Amino acid sequence: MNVITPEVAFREYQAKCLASYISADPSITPSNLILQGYSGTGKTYTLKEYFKANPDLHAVWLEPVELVSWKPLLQAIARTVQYKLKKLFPNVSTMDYDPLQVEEPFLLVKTLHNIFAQYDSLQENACLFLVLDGFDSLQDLDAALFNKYIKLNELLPTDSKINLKFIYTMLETSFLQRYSTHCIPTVMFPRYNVDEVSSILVTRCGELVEDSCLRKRIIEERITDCTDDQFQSVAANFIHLIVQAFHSYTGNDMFALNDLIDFKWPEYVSHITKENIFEPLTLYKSAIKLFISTGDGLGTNEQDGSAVNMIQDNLKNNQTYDLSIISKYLLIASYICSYLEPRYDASIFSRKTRIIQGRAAYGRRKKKEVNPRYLQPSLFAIERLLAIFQAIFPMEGKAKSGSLSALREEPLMRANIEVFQNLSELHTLQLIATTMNKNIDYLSPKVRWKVNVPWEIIKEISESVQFDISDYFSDVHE
Amino acid sequence: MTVNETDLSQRVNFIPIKRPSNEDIPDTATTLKKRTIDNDEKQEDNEPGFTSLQKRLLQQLNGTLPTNEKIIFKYLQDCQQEIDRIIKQSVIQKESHSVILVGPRQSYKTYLLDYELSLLQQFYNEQFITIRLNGFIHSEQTAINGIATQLEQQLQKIHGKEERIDGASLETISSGSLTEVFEKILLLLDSAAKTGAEDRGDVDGSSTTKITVVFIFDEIDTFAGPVRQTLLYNLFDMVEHARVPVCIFGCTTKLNMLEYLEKRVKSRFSQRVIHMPQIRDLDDMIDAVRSLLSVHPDVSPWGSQWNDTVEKELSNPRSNLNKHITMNFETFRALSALKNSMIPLVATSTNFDSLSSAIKSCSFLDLYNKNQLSNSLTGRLQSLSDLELAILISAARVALRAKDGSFNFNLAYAEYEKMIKAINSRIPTVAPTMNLGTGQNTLSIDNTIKLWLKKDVKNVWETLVQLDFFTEKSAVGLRDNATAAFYASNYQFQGTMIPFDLRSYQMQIILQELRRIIPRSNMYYSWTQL
Repeated sequence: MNVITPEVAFREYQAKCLASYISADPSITPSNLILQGYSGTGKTYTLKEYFKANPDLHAVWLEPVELVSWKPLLQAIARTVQYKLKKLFPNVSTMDYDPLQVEEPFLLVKTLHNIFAQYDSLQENACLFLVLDGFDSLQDLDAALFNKYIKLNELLPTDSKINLKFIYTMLETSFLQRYSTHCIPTVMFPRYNVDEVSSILVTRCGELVEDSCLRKRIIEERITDCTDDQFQSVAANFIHLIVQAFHSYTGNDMFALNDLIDFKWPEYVSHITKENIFEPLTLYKSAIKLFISTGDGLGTNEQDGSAVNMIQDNLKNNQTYDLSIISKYLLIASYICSYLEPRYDASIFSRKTRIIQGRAAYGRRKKKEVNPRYLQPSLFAIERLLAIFQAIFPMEGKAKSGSLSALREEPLMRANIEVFQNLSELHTLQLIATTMNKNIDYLSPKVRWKVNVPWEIIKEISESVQFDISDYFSDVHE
Repeated sequence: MTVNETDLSQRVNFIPIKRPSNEDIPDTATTLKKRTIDNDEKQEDNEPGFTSLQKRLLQQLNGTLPTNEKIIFKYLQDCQQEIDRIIKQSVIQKESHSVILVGPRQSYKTYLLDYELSLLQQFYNEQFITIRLNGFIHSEQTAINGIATQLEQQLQKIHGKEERIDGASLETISSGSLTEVFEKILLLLDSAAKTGAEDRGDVDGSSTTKITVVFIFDEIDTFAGPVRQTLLYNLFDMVEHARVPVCIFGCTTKLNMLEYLEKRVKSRFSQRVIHMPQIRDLDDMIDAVRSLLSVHPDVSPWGSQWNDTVEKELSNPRSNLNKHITMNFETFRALSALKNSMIPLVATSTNFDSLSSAIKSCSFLDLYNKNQLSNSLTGRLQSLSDLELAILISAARVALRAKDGSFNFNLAYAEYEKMIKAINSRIPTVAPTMNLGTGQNTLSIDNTIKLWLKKDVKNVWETLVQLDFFTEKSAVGLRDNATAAFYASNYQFQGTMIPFDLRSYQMQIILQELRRIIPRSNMYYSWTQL
């Protein structure tokens, strides 16, 4: 076994396994090898390190996620294999095969057969490793596809000098389990634990110290009596803090923690002063805000200081979903329709309360155990929506009340063409949904509607028109 | 939903930073540098005899020995002889045959066929051509083209490169309708038989010079679909009528293969079905392992010593190796699984002593088994962070209470909020007070558990979905074939329209199971009971 096992932290077993399954001798290398592990478990990294440590092993890398569908994947295989072989053996005269002709799995077999046949003059057998990195991330993945690949080598000529060996990395165990009867050699990459994650992340110290923002800060603050190693430990401290603060949020996802480090480092650096650089605790206290909120939302954080609140007010006014007033009220009405029971409608919205007798008139209800807002919206008919819309939509009469012209004005909003335009806009925006998806007749009584917006958003929308929707839901549960 | 500034203090620990000019650097920095240099020791104690033993063993485990030395397990030998007889009848005596081999995956169907064909190849190289089709790779339409292509390639090998048969190049063979192509193939086969005769200048009787065509159909059941089965019909018909001898081997995993065949196809099939023998008892299994692990003494100076070691381990019923074989026999009963685990055991040994101690202790096999299970549901659960676990338990609690076992993000978060608040209310808290002297908040008193924001928990939720703890209700999962996958990705379904908070999910693990896995020492253990 003339292979070198690379040193990869916490992946000794995996590296050993790779070394025993992957070698330059085709007769002791299985034709399919699977590396399975969830995102951020070091599959690709370990494999790359392995090939780096063994430069005499030749690998071609493909990422199925970029190739979307099975056909581009087949073509990419033909293309890269042909290209790689050409580069490896420039002395062999070859003919170019058009990879775009590979439109069927069997055509890939044919093309590879033809390509390999050109290298029959080689002295020794060679292995070419085709790494499909993230096989199950292919967008148009189906259950039959993987079978095609693991059986491909049975159709390739056995006496060829070039031996194509497949290495797959995949994320899902459920995908792998479908093919367990094939008994393909598999190396599992378990998720890291906290200690492993932090000791791997600490290796980034150097990179953080090199960062230009730290240099700038040092010059600004005139910090002179600090050695490189001390900067290293400032960075190491920061990384430890991030891991301790956010580990429960990110879990053992290396990528997420990495992003948080990148994202928060410049701000942390801006808190460094001449005094606190040697006092980790004071530095931590001065930068405590960084470690309290993740701050990775698209908007701003609710819990930050008052300065942020102002921005948020602005945002609320500008940003709320660019809808017209009518649309907003329609949406609010549809939310009410979906989440309040119709039998209380009369008591809530009608001004003539005496029409209804008995308990319903008082709107007394049994409170529910589960907040209905947490559940799926219920369906309603369009008439109910329009009625409630009419009840809640504020009409401002231009004329003085009591005057003659006031009589001519409509007291209530009518379901005019504008309303229906807005309704159909909401439907296209998928804020309101119907039971059927296609060719809907908006006026048909058969079509049932429901709101497609959660509470948080509807609350923002209603606040933007100064409508207090929580009033309607105040006594529904608990 | 307030977050205390003090939440973190309890968990934070610092690396001490010393004032300038000190001799030792904090340990984190030094540990980094250590990692790189360690590799050089290996290669040295490789005795030359050992390398050949190791290579031989790996070849045996990978099933890639040269033809004459290939291992045929004892329990497979009857089956092998039957295949041998059929294949020789068709290649040497030019009879036509059709056989279907039925057996589960990894039951050496293709292996035996390959072995027989390569044996014949040594003596009757130009007497037959092999055409391999795989039901996974070839569809019924492309199979015809596949046959045409392979015929062309094989005949070119026999006749030399430049020659074209009857002036027909491959493009013309594989063009036209299915039947046309097929006619051309048959024509080609006939002419191949003729030209073959002329080439070798045999005068005495054409029967000896005919080239047998051996078809090997893997996954033959995919060609026996619901519509027409033209390919199989024509091929089986060829067995009866064609002038060239044809031999068809079908491999399948379907026990009821014959039921798939249409009446007219079935009547043309020879009805000969070979069921692949299986390992019946532990002795079969041990025998197979023995033949896998023992080597010919000539291979290496260590050969006989190694054989003795293996024999000793196998004959001792209490040895670790035997334990693993028994375990495999009682669970998977799959030699391939055992072989996969043996490969690293052999490959990672650096000299004979380490190899024999490895086979004695079998500690690598334990490691291997442990690794294979490391991404199971339990393994994944143990890798969760505390917040992820809290959310998972909350979801499981909601699911258990719900009538249909489904829940959504809103409900799970409400449950989480309730539980955290309940815990925090029991912890005596001291409101952060201003220290008059320094003007700082006191930091170390509050011990409440941090309540994460709803929007932060959404991220955690997605992680849990990715790790397969939840499945979206009415999610269809992986599609069966490419067409279905295409439709799924190009047409929108109702499910994708529902807002994130309200999508309903179902658990893959229930609360009672969580209780069994989560250690008692865990903060959230008490939550695992309603």
